[in-house]
Amino acid sequence: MKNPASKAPQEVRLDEVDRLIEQVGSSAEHALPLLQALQERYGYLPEVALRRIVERTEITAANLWSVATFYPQLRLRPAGRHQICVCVGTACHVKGAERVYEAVQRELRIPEGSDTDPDGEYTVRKVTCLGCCTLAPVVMVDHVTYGHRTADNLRAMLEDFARHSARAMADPLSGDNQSDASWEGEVRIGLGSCCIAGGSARVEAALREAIQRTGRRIRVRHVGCVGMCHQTPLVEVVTSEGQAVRYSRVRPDDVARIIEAHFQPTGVRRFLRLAEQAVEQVLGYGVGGDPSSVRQLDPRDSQVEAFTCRQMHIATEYCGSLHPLDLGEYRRHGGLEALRQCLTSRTFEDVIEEIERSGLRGRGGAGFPTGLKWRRVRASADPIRYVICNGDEGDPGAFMDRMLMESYPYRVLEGLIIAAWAVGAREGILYIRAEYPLALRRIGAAIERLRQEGWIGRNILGTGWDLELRIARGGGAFVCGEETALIASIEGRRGSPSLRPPYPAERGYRGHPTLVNNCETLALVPWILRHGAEAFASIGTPHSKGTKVFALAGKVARGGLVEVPMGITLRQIVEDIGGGAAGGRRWKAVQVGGPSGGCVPESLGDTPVDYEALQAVGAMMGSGGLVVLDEADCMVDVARYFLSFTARESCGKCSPCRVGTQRMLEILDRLCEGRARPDDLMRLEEIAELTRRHSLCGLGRTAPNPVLTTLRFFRSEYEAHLQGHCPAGRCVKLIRYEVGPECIGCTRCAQVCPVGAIPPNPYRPHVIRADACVRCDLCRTSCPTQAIRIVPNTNASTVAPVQPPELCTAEVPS
Amino acid sequence: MKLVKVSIDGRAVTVAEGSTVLDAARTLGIEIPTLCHRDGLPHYTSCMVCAVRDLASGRWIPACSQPVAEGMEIEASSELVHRARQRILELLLSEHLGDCEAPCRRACPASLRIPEMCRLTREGRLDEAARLVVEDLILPVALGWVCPAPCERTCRRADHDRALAIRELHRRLGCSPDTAAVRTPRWPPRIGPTVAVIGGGPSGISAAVALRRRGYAVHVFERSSRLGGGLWASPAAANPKFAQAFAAELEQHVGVEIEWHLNTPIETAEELNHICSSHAATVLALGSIEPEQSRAWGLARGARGLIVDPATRQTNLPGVFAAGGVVQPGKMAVRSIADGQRVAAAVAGYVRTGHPTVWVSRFDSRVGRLEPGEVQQWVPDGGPDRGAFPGEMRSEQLDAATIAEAARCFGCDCRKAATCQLRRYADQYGADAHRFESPTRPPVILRRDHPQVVYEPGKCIRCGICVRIAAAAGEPLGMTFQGRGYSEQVAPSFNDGLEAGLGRVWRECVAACPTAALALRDRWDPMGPDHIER
Ligand SMILES: Cc1cc2nc3c(=O)[nH]c(=O)nc-3n(C[C@H](O)[C@H](O)[C@H](O)COP(=O)(O)O)c2cc1C
Ligand code: SF4
Ligand code: SF4
Ligand code: SF4
Ligand code: SF4
Ligand code: SF4
Ligand code: FES
Ligand code: FES
Ligand code: FES
Repeated sequence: MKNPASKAPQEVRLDEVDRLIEQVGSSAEHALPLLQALQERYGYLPEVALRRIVERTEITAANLWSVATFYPQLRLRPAGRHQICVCVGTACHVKGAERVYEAVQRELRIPEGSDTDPDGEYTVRKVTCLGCCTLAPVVMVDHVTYGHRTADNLRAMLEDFARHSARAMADPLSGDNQSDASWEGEVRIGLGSCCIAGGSARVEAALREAIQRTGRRIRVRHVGCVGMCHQTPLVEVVTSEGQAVRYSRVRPDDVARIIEAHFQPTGVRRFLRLAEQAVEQVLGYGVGGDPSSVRQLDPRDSQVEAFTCRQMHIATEYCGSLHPLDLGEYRRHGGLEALRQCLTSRTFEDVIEEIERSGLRGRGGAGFPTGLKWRRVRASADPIRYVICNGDEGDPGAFMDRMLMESYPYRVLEGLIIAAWAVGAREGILYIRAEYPLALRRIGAAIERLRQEGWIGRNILGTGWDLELRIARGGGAFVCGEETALIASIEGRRGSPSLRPPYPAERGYRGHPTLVNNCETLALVPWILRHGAEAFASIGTPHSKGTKVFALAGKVARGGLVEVPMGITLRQIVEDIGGGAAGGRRWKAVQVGGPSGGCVPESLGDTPVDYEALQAVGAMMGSGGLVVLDEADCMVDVARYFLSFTARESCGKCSPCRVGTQRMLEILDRLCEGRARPDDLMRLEEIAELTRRHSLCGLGRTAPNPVLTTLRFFRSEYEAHLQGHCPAGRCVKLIRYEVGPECIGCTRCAQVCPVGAIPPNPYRPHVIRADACVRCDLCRTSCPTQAIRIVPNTNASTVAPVQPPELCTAEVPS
Repeated sequence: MKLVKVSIDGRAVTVAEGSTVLDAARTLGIEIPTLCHRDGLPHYTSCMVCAVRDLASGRWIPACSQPVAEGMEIEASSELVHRARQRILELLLSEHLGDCEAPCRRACPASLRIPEMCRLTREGRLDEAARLVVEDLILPVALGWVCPAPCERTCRRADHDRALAIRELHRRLGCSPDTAAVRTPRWPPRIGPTVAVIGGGPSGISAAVALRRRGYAVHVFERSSRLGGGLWASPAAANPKFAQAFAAELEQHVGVEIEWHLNTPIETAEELNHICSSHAATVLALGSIEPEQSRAWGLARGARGLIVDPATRQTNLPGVFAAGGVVQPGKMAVRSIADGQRVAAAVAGYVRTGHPTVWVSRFDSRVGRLEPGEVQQWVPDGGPDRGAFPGEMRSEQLDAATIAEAARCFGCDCRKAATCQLRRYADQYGADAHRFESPTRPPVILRRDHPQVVYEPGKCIRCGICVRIAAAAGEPLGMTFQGRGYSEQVAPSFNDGLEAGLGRVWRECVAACPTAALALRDRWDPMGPDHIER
């Protein structure tokens, strides 16, 4: 075992394993849930337990082992007591996640080749996207998410965690929002993952305290994601006059002032409070930290207006004002109305036809017409049919589905139930990523609630129609978002895709016709049925109708979740809604559609959001990740980043993808390290074409897109790398840090350098020892006079001798 | 049963609904390569070498698993398809880790089937071993004296203890009285027209013998009074025993079937023209040629020697070929022997069809240099070392020591070098293993945890055939996919022993494995030629 230091493996008791089997189930389909249960119990998969499972269940050894070694979430060797997940998703990557990861390893003194610190306390692993991209870089310690991590605030994070580690991961969401009219006002607090990671739980405690001090009847309401995830935690105050004011980046210390500003305390309390306030005014701020961190978001403020005015909320209808789990509130806002109508007064032909007319296309990436898919399933002669909601959202840098499931669980479920009814299914499954604990909980709670109210279960609304819904938890494999792999995963097999045809609509789960739809697709369905196909079809472009939710992240001033009408241009999203690049820089490109998508340069910013238009520029609608890149981003590095993602996530089944992605990655590695050969670009293009054409599933077929688009639009950057030069100064092997004459000898850089590459030399110019420097960027960002700069590393340009290019021209795309 | 009409390469065919494109192609007799497909097992669709193109959509589809659809038009044999398959094979080969041919054979210019020679010897099949060395080397004894033995410098065993005494082995096999009977060649009847060979050195002898073996009558014109040419220049030839051994060898292996014209110099253009016009083809095997001579004969000459078509050895004069030192002066006799054989192949084609046969090396995957320690994995395949092999150049005995020496051979060639599907397609599609080369290679692994089978994960193409066979047989442990992505491996479940993993179906799995990933421990394919004649 490579990990001598990790905690001594617990003794595995077979009777305990047997009990787990009894709880979880013993059919072949239970392979993944059983492994997940084992892992939860022991922190890893003890081999004796695995063998016991083979003995006691229908699961074969071959299948169990292939599943156990497939999912990155599962591990075969013991782990530390706590798990640190460093997100290296797209948004975090462009904000320096690799450096954070290296810093965590240094901080914890994790030995080379291991993933656990010598005390067996922490196991560190990389994950791709924790769904809090606007807080990038993000690190999760057990279930606590920390945003905005840098190499120098990790110790603070670990200390905070050590102090609060007893804090169990509990959904802070309270019960329903009561609709009592006698309130004098309300305070809304967002409880999406981003908000929670931003610290909304502590803000809420402070809020309740402050309200109590006012002595007035102000209620605190929990709402879902507001969309402005870059500003979390968000607090919105609504007075009895209906005036609403929103505050961003609220800290517990700020709360009292916010409450004061809107609600005068009563009686004596008021008097006391005013006295206090006077004191505070004398002393000024200073206790509560930087006052500029809290901002009142005035809706008249042009920024907020820009963020909101171009948006159109259909999937996210009543954004920021609905309590995620309050069914009564959902119903008061038209919820379940569409479903009720379907069940009581509509025919399935009519509903399918309406969905067809609406022009709705799948939001999971490929854009297949939803109505047509429903019709195919319905048309099957097989009476047993299934519906599946795809909530696997593995795109690193996208979190729309997470937000929909967390904030609008009833809407997603309503869509799913309608779909099940329309295609004649009696069983439905929601496949949800394990990295989304909150979404899992809320969907679970929402299913229970709907079941209690008779919307799920036997004889729904007396129609004689039964429907059972359940959740399947993913295992952290991106490829499981692909529908055939997803079905294989639910069936308890390895999540490897298989050839389509047969499509799931003909032969899917358990060999029966199966409808697979994305979360967002389903969340749009109730609105369409309530407002009519025409209303939906009137939005958008000729072939792309309605709205699309995007997760806007990266180097953008205002990141978050935005729902925009189709046809809006990328520039409008980035500049108007997102406020352009952060820090007043120019944005250079926007990465659309994640690892399957492409990089659209600023010059093509007027490309509309439309399935075909995006494809025409080499990108893809994908699931809806929009990562903004600015001048400081290296496009070769971005391509390499995506390829390292797809290469890691390739299931390994088909040779073009398994080998092709690896070979492309090797070439990109060479480029980023200044070791590329002159004919490498040609070879890269050739492999990209091969992989695109011949891979079995969408993962491989689209994996080359980031490479092909960057080659197409940013070829000069590739050529510079061939010469051993990184124009953006990102590729660490091609850069060096240097101290300029501005140095005042303050020694700050020497203090922050984690590897002691800068000998402290008070009042004298400092020097960086290039051999020791790990290029963590800490010195540069800490220097008060900006004396430290990045310069090309001339030593690295050990460009291989020029070889005559081989004759391997890429074929013309067919 | 519903029928579906499709067309492949423009030819219409009607097949049952549910058939695959591959089924339809087979009905038409159109060949489509497959690696992961196996009749009777469920589809897995992983290798993608069965790529064909759907003309309507322009999409590439895997023929083995794609069901036919009415009106489908498929392109299965075009240049485009050929190239796509070639590239897919090249991707597969870029992660392939194995040696088709043994390093020693690669180093021997005449491609002596060294490991096979050793296997036959170790098994006591001395006659076959002797026939083999005569066949490959033509002059195994003379070479045993004069060859600098580049083969021994690459011998794997040298990394472990000491290189195999390859040269000595083939010398003894070539001259031992025990095998004398089989070494006397049985020539095929003379059917073809007559070919002239000018020069009786190693390349001339080799070309003459090789042509005669192919059934052609051969006239050799040698200017001096003895055969051997450059062989005599070797220091080893100064030993009087060499003259004796060479004479015996000529008599025994080369025989009298060839018309040797000693003391017959060919010098003037008229003389050459006369020879050329009275023979179907002429081979120039002069050892070397002066610029004036080549000018007089009207032959194109470069800085070092005659200019020939590298694929056929034909000079600028049609029907006139050149071999050995006249093309590339060099010291190694074995190189001239090899050249003579090549030129014979080209000449045979020329005489038969008017087009010289092209000699293409067979595809040969290579491991390259071994990392320290890796050689240990071969040790179980070789016999023990007993110290230096005694009796160099003295003995003619195929005694116990000789057999023990042969038994030391590791057998570094691939166990399925002749039957491997991957190699076969690599040849057929002209795949280049280096086009997509990887900068790193995983360690070489030979799993030997089975009494009958060796498993080499580096040769596994993850086709899943063994996995499916074991699953279909209900093997309790079975083979399975372990890990994923580029590091995915096929292994016994729980990474247990191979014996348990393959269970009762080991024989079936070995037979079905399209490469030598799974192979019988003690059986190698009979070694074939290392080239293809086209
Ligand atoms: C590699 C890969 C990953 C995918 N990931 C997702 C995903 O995370 N969520 C999703 O809804 N669809 C994903 N898809 C698309 C699904 O295969 C499928 O098309 C989709 O769920 C269908 O739903 P829709 O028609 O509503 O879009 C993925 C496809 C591929 C090839
Ligand atoms: S394309 Fe990649 S992910 Fe898809 S089946 Fe092939 S190897 Fe697996
Ligand atoms: S398995 Fe095939 S390709 Fe690989 S070394 Fe053996 S013969 Fe060559
Ligand atoms: S001829 Fe030379 S190279 Fe060939 S096997 Fe004999 S000694 Fe080795
Ligand atoms: S061990 Fe045998 S097969 Fe291997 S290199 Fe030496 S002689 Fe050749
Ligand atoms: S070992 Fe199994 S999976 Fe690998 S090539 Fe052979 S049959 Fe295929
Ligand atoms: S949270 Fe890191 S990329 Fe999404
Ligand atoms: S999750 Fe809180 S605003 Fe998005
Ligand atoms: S994919 Fe068709 S034979 Fe392998």
